[in-house]
Amino acid sequence: METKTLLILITVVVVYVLIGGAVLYGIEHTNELQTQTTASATYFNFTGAVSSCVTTDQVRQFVTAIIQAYDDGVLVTDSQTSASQWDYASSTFFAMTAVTTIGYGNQAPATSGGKAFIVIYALLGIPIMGLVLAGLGEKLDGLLKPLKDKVFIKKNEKIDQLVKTLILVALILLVMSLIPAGIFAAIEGWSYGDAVYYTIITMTTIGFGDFVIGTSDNDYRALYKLLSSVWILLGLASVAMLLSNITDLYKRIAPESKTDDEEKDEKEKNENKESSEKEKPAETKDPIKA
Amino acid sequence: MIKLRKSTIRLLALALFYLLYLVIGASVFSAIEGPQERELIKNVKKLRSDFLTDNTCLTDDKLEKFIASIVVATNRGVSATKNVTMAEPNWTFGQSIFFAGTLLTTIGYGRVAPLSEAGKGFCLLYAMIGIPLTLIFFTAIVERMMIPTKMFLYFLFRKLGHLYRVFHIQLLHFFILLIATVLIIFIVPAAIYSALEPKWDFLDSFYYCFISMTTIGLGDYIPGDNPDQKARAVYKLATTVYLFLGLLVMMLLLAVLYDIPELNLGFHFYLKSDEEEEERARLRSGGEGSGPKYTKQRDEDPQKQTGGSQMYQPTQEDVAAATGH
Repeated sequence: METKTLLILITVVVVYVLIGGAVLYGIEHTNELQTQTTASATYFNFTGAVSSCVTTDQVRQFVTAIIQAYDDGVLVTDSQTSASQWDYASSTFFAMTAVTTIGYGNQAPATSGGKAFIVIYALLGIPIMGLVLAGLGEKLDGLLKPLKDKVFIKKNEKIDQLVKTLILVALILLVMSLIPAGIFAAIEGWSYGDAVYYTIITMTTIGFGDFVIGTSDNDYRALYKLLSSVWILLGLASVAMLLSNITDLYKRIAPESKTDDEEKDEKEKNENKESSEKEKPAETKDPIKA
Repeated sequence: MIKLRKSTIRLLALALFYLLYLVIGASVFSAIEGPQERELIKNVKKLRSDFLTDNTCLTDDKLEKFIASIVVATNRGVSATKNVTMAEPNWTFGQSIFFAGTLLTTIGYGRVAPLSEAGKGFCLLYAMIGIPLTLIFFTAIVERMMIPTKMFLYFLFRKLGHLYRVFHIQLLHFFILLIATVLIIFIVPAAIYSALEPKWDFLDSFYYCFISMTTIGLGDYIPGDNPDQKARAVYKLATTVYLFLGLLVMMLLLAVLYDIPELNLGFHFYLKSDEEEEERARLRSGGEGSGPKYTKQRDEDPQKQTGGSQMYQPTQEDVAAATGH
C-alpha cells in the first residue's frame, strides 16, 4: 500500500488502542482497587486470628479467599502488592493483546461492563489490526527484495525458492524470537527456553498467558511494555509476510494441476470418443448373442 | 460405485490425517504432562497437610511461602481447597484433545498449559507444524462450503436481480448469513452453555463464545472445568467440535464478505492495488471505456485465511447468464 495510507492506518490503530486502554482503565481500575482492599482486609484478619491456633475451616476459607482474589488478578502479601494490572500502560497492553487475538488471559475484565466493552472493541479492532498487519507485512516483504533478487542455486528455480524461504524463516526466528527471548529472559528472570517458548506462543497468537512480560513491578514498566508491544506487532507482521511467502513457494513448487472442471471436461471428451468407438463393435456383438 | 473427484478424495485423506494429528498430539500431551501434574497435585496436598499438622502459630514467612505455592498452583489450574482427591486431573485424554484443538486454532486459553520442559518444546513444534496445516485444511473445507453458499446467492440473484443492484443483493446475502451465524454459532451455544455451566449466565456464555470464536481465548471462562462435571471427556470433545465448526463458519463469513469487491477495503492496502490503478490509468488514457474486470487478489492475511482459490466475481453479464434473463 502507499506509505501515506499505511501511516494513516497505523495512526488510526494507535489511537484506537489508546482509546481502548483508556476505557478499560476507567472500568477496571476502580473494581481492582476494591478487590485489593477486600483482599488486604482478609489477609490482616487472618494474621490476627492466627495467634490462637488455626482450624481447618479457617485455613480453607482463607485460601479460598486468596485464590478468589488471585483469579481476579490480585495477590496481596505483606512484602509486596502485585503491580496493578489495570493501570494505564497495562490496560493498553491488554487492549493490544485483544485485537491481535493473542489474548493471554493472565488478565481479563472482571466487570460485566468490561466484558461487554471488550466484545464490541474486539469486533471492530480485530479487522483493523488485520489490515495493519497485512500492510506491514507487505512493507517488510519489500525490504527483503535484495535477498529475494539474489539467486543462490542457479540451475533449479524451485530449490532456489525453497532455500530463500528457509533463510527467511531462520531470519525471522532469529530477529523476532531468539534475540528478544534473550532480552526477556534477562529482564523477567525466565530461563532462556521459557523465553523462547513465550515468544513463539505469542507470535502464533496462541497466547497462553502462563508467561507474560511486564507483570512484575519495575521502574520502566510503561516503556518496557511499549517496546514489547512494538515487538509484538512487528513479529506478527513478519509471520504474516512469512506465511504469504510460503504460499508463494507452494504455488511455485506444486506441479501445475488442472482445476476439477478442466479434468471433468477432459474426461467427458475422452468418454465421448470411447463411446463412439464402442458403438460399432456392440452392434456386431448383439446379433450373435441374440 | 460412487465416483469421487480426485480433490474430494484428497480432502478426505487430509481430514483423516488431520484427525490423526489431533489424536497423536493429545496422546503425547497426556503422556508428557500427566505425571508432572500428578506430582504437582501431590506436592500441593502435602504442603497443605503439613500446614495443618503444624499446630503452632504460623510465622509470616511460612504463610507467604504457603500463599505463593497456592498461587502458583492456581495459576496452573490446580485446586488446593478440595478435601478429597480431585475428580480428574487436567491432562486426561478428553482434555488433551481439547487442548490440542485450542492450540491449533490459536485460541490458546492458557488455563491448562504445559508445565514440563518437554511439554513446552513439543507444544512449539506441534503448533508450528499444526497451525499451517490447520489453515490449509480449513481453507479447503471453506472452499467447499462456498458452493451451497454461492447457490443461495444465485437464487437471490434470480429472485431479485431485476429489482436491485448486484452490490445490494450481495449485501443482503451477507447479512442473512451473518444473522444465521450469530444465531447458530453464538446465541444457541451460549444458551446451551449457560444451562450446562452452573456459574455462567447467558451473557457470560455469550462472552465465552465470542472470545473463543475470535481466537482471542483469554481463558477466564472454560466449559467443563466444574469439579463435579459429569462426562467431562465427552463435554470437552463436544466443545472442541463446536470450536472447529464455529471457526469454519467464521472463515466462510469472511470469504463471503471478501467476495464483495465494494467492501474489499483490504485490497486498497496492498501493493497490487498500485499495479491495478496504474493499469487502469493506462487503459483509460489508451483505449476505449471498458475498464479491466476486477481481478481477485489472493488473501494475504494468514490470520483469517479465506478460500484459497480464485473466487469468481459476478458481473452484471454473469448475473444475467446465471438467472437466464
